[in-house]
Amino acid sequence: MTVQYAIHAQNLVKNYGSVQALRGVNLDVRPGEIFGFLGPNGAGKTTTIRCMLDLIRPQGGTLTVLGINPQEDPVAVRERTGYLPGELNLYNNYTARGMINLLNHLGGNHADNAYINELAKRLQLTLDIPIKNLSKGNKQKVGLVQAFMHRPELLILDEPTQGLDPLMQKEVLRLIREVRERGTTIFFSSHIISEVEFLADRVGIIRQGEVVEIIAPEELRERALRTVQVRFKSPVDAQTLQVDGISVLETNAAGDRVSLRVTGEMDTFIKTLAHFPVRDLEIERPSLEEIFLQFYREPGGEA
Amino acid sequence: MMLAILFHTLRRLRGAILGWGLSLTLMPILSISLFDTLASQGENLDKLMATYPPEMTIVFGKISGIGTPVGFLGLEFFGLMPFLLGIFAVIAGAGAVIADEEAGILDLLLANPLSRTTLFVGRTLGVFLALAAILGMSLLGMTLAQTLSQEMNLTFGQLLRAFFPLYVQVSLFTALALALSMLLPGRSLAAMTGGLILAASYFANSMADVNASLESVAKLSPIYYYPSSQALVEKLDWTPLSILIALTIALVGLAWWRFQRRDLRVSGESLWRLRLPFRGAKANEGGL
Repeated sequence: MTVQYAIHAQNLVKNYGSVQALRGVNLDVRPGEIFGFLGPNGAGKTTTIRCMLDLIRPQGGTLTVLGINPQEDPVAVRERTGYLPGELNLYNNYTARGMINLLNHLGGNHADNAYINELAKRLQLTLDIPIKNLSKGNKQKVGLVQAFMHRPELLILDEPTQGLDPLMQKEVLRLIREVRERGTTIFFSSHIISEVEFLADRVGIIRQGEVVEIIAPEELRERALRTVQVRFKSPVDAQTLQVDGISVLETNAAGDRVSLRVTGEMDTFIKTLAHFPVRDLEIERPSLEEIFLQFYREPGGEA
Repeated sequence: MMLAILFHTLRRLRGAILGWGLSLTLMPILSISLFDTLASQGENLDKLMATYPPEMTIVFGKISGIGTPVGFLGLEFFGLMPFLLGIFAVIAGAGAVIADEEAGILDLLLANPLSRTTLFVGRTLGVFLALAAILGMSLLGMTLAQTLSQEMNLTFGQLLRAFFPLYVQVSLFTALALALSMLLPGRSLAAMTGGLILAASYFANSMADVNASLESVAKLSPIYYYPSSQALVEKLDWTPLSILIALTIALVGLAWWRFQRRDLRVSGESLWRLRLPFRGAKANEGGL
């Protein structure tokens, strides 16, 4: 049976005592897409994910995963879902293989050894080492193998590349793209903006328990502020650079170095700059925090 | 899937099963090997014991008839066992489900197509089986130890009859600790509370032998209702046993009911905290 949404949340509310963790999350994830979920610590990412697997129960709103209400039939949801928790803990007295086998038993023995070995090989994970002797990155690989091994319809990955070295991060991103090619829907949370840009078809931004926007990943940077340092061959009148979307932050005494803030697309800025003799140009990529700041800025101006 | 959880629970408890099981196997072997000497001095020993202050029974239990197999085993083994094995029962019961939750592994286990009931039953059954295995080893030890004694001539059926109420009593403490672990903020508090109730039950029951006015307090103790050594010579009295079994089932049911309904905690979170005096910074509310 095909469903309209792989994940559908409407006005999802979750409180921990007086703390409002989710204040009405609205979210739609389409089947077969890669959906990135971005937000600072405490924004409600993990709470939303844990509701999807019925590990915690929301107090309000509706939620369906693969067309099923997780509270009504959690086992049916989990049968078709692979999950990597953000805070991964494993049994230290098991080997990596023993842990994976245990989870495979609990998953109904749907994973075949050949695929487990293939995943381990790709992630350069030695399966016969005790968990207690594994580094944080290698433990993360165990978590990834167990999430992928059943070839689930939906993968929910809470910070999938944390603790991995850059080369391994790229391998994991390739793996995620490959399984998407097979039709898997991927819902992942991340703090790494380049990862979200590379991977996601759409990005949901969560702030203080509310999804404030769902956008295409390229929009993330387009809408963010960039700081640009320009060195000119000769002094320029900085005021002439100040057009729509560009503001001057600082100019040196000689007038040949200008620091600018650019908002939106770079096209206007580059065309403006083309009228001047440029020696050097440096664009500072905005950090995730700066992007969040931009999204989270209240109409009044305070973030 | 439940079998996987059950086997994992037994694997996790295998050290405890071996440690407690071997200790409780050796204990009757060592004590029964001394029994023949005591039996020949039975009357004299009873006279000697009669000179001891009655308060001794608080610690050692009823010490009459030490020269008989029933009196001897009641004093040396069955009197102490509800308390000694109760310690294991409380610790194992308090950690049966919560240990994984506090270690932050429960999220990963329950992300599999496994219902909370299956996990709960697998874990709980594992602890009850571990208790049965420990007592089974001890029963075997006691049966074998009979061959070391000329005077000890209890049948396997008699011993089995005595071990059964003992198993029921310690199972009740397992169920109590399990229920407490679902209601209190953490495993250590549940084990501590369960341990206090166990100790209070044991001493209330013992003190009632000395002071009859304490009998009403002792009636709150599950140990009061069934001295296991009694079953060595009498038929099983199913009335108190049925009450203890019903209480055990009710406590397990309460724990299951609570586990079904509450949020799973990730490591570091708790449902509520005791506001202890001299506590510094405000308790961590846990990550969102």
